Amino acid sequence: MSRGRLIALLVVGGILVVGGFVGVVLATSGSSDDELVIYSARSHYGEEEPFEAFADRTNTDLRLRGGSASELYERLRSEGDNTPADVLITVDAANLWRAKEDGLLQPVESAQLDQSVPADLRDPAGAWFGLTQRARTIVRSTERVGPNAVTTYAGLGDPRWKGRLCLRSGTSEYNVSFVADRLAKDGPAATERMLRRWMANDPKILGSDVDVLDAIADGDCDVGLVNSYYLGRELEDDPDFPVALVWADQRGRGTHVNLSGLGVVKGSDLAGEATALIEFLTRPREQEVFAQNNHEFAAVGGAEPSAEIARFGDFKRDPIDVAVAGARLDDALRLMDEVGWS
Amino acid sequence: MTRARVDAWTAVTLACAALVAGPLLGLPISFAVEPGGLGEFSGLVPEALSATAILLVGVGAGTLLLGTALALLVTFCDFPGRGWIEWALVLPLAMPGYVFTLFALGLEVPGIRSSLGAVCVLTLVLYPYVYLLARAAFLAQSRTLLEAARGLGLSRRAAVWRVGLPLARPAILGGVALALMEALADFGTVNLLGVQTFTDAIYRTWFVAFDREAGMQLAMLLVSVTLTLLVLERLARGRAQYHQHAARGDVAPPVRLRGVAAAAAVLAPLALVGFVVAAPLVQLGVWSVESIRADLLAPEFAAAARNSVLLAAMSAVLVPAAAVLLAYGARASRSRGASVGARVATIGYGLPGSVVAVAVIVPLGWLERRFDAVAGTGLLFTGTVIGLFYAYLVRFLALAWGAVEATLARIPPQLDDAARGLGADRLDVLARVHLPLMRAGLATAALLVFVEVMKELPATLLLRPLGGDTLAIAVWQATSESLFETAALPSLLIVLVGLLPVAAMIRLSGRRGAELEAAQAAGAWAEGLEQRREVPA
Amino acid sequence: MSDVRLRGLSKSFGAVRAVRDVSLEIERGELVAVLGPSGCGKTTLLRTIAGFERPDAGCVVVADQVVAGPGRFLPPETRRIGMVFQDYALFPHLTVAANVAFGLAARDRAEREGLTQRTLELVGLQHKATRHPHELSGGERQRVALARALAPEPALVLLDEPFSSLDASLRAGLRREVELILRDAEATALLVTHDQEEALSLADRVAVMREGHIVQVDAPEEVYARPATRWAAQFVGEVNVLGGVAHGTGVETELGVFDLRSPANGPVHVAVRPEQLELRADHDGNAEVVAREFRGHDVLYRLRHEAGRVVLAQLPSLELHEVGARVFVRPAPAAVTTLVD
Repeated sequence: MSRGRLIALLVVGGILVVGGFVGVVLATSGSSDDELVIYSARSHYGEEEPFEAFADRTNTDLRLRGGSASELYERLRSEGDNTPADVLITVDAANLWRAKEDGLLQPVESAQLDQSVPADLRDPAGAWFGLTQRARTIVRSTERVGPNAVTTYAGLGDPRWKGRLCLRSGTSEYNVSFVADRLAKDGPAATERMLRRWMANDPKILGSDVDVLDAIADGDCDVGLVNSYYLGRELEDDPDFPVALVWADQRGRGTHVNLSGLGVVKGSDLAGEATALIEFLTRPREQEVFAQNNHEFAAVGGAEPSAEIARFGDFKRDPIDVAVAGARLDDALRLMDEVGWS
Repeated sequence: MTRARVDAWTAVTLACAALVAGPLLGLPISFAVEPGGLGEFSGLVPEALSATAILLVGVGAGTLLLGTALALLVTFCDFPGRGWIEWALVLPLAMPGYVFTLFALGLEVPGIRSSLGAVCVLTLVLYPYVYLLARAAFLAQSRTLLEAARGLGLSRRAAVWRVGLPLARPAILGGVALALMEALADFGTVNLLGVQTFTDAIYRTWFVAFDREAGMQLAMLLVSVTLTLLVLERLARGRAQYHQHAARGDVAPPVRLRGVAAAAAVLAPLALVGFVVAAPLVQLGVWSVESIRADLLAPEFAAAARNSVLLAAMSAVLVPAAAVLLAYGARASRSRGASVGARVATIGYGLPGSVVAVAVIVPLGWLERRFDAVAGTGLLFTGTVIGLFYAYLVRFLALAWGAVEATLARIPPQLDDAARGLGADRLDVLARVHLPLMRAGLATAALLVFVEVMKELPATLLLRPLGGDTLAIAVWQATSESLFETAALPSLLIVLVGLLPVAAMIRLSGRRGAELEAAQAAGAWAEGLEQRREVPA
Repeated sequence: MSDVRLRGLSKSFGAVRAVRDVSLEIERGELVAVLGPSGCGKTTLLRTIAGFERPDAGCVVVADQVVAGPGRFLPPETRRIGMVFQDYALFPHLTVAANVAFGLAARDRAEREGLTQRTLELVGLQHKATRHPHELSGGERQRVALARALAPEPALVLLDEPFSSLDASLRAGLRREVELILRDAEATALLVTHDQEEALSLADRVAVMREGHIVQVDAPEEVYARPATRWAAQFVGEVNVLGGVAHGTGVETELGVFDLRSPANGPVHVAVRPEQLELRADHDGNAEVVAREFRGHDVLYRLRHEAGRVVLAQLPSLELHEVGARVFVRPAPAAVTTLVD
């Protein structure tokens, strides 16, 4: 190649690269001013109806950014006041609590929300509000395990389940929150005892709740611990799925219930619209959609659970104590690590 | 005047290296800042160490055996279909570990959720590194070496075993080191399979415990492991100078296989490639069709596809350019500082993307807040793909640099002098001598970066801006929810698009490559003379 | 082609003084060889003249232009100096013709093609113009390197040990060819080598270099017959350094009387070349053959003289003496020797 051609190539190439670069940056960045940006840790597959309904009704564009709670948290922290996000949704209350503690959320004044959302399902200062409730409870094989064989969380540590227990990995935020809530309510000694007995049963550690359900259905184990809505989804696809829910600790405090919630992000310029979204999603009608479509439990109002879940009957709930559990998250992780819940 | 130019080049190289390796230096700093932090998660370390060790040993042994055996087969034996089996064996490069894991999980292969499973998956997708380098080494051995061994009484097999293999050892070990670095940095596969390696431990302390400092410290340990690997790789490669460069046709004539042996030689590689590439593609295709029919497509799928290609293409230009700058600087300045700087800049390769991402987001965030305070630019870096490009640069510079430096090093400095003696100034030398000779290296670098960026997951997870989702993100999100059908189409696209550059790379080392090899052989021969010459007289 | 002048050129690398105060003049069209052992600084000298090294002191003038000197330094690409490297440094990605034309980029197409063609004909490679370097033999590559250096019609051609990478059997023939090419091109050339046969046979003048200094510059026959120093005598060709007593035009040594080139008196040392001795078989001779080196057209004998000294004698190979034979050695007729220190 001659010198002249090289220079020409460099110049043309340089222009193309710079142009392309700017193009890529523009194409992939940002949101327009009147878009409501939602950072959501809820899996947004199926693009939940209530959000679409809101968008239609108010003629606002919604922009969703998915990710795990910790990733979203990391981004919010880094973005600071310049963040494009308006709303933060998590699937685990403790994460919400942490977000509030670290100043990522702004308090909201809404009489409607104060009235409709129960006090124990929202932040006293109005920084976040519960959206749906999620029960984490025992599941059993319908083919091999009777309905009363195991009814308490502690019961999963019974030696008869040795080698037959399936658990999701200890990194799952649901499990961590569960343990944190235990620590808050039962104290470290009792919680540690329970976990050690669980681990003594040599549980199979699997990557997701769905895997746990599949393992039970396949006969790899007999009992496990999952969020109830996962079973709901399975049963919707396959009504003969051979796994059943057991509401744990009904004679005790009740089944552990976590919270999926949302709040307005501190750096948001669209606080009003964001509040409107929260108000909309907590309306009984939308709550019902969540319950029916996703097999969760409503936070607000008495929406009926879906048929698949309803067949397991009503149950006593032990809602997570968000603040205290939130503070014990680190302890929970450490404990799980110590007992070998990987 | 020469003196001033030399200093400028060193400065540029060091600046480039600092830019790339700088964020990673934040890791040891945090180690110093909070030394006690690691104690709190000491329970994680032994588990992570043993799991990582198992992974390294397993993948190392696996890729070594598989890659070397295959390279021996295609170089020293002849069997029907050898021509295209030779390049088909490289195809697994286009298969990301997490996509193959998706396939294996979907098949419900028993026992896969274990260390052994992870080792098997990673061996199957990483062996091409060893295969490629071993094959190149065998091809470069001239026939006379093996004939000399035969003349000394060794059988053909013994000659290959005792002469051919040891000679190729540096290249083979180099390939194993690359495979191990990929395995170390892997996140998707081990996470999906539930294997608690270092990467996983870092993820846990960081993202679940929100404890950035402890996470950084674990990352520091990981960096030490990487550095050790890099040093070992350098030692394995640096000493060996194999100057017997055979022109094509001067390679030892292969043994013709017959009967059962020939059949096995054809079927085994086919089965391998079929299992690792073809079968997953078919399964992904089936799932993709289902997902389209059932309307289970990932949201914003088209945007994700567009983003993936754009990001990969742009990176394929930027990263090799930076590599050329570094390699050129090291060569032009001829100072140790510059070459050390270049080496340091390549450290990002052995680190998991999530480590790189978090190491990068902190200084970038700080910088963009400064810019914003002054000029109101908003989220200039983390809110756009600029931050992502930077992470890609830190992560993949090593790849591009390796390819570029290898070709640049083969150009003896006498060629530069000869050109200048004939009236060419520096720009002329670049245009008329260096670039033509570096074409293959540049193309390889660009292709490698393209494939890697298409596959990249953890850094993209953290640093992608709003609207910047990629195909890899779509696959990840779907797989995390066990929604295999939804994950299928983006996975399929990633593999298919990745196959194109891999095929191109294979062609580059084909016939056209023979001419280039001969040209480079001439250069290396001159290099050999240089070594024989004494101190400048 | 024009004059080249080096004045007081010096170059050091740290503590190593590679070139010390070298002064040399090369006439237009002349071929000068710098002869010296490895490490004497000759390649550094060449690179300094070419512009790849910057001299610490002194100046280089080529064609009445100061290319290097106090406060002045032209980069290599602007000096009109062609260079042939020891390993030829041909561009592997270019054809022979493209290699030769490389330095002609600034000229217009017709001129470029014409010059390339002519230069290729000069070296006899016009029929290989479209080949690539790796397809050529060693000798052919050398000729391409030479052609490439000559094509831009430089003021000076530098050759760095151009024959060292060739087969010994080819060297003599190629030397002839290169010499003819350079003469045909009327090139002014400076060649560095450690091979004295090369220097003596090719060059118009030889500059003997030792540890950075030029020890002697003379026509080859003068350098051989009249070495300036004992070291030069020993480096260029084999030599016997004998002690003796000079009386005017003759000198008396233990081997006999030799003529002296320049008159002297008193105790001296003289350099006696092996061919300046003659032998005949003699049972009562004054020396014994200790070793014999048969070199085809001549034989080099290592003799132990009865006085104890070992001397070298070279004779045509018509008559051979065995090892251990006793011989009588004496000065050959009309052997003229030179004083050495």
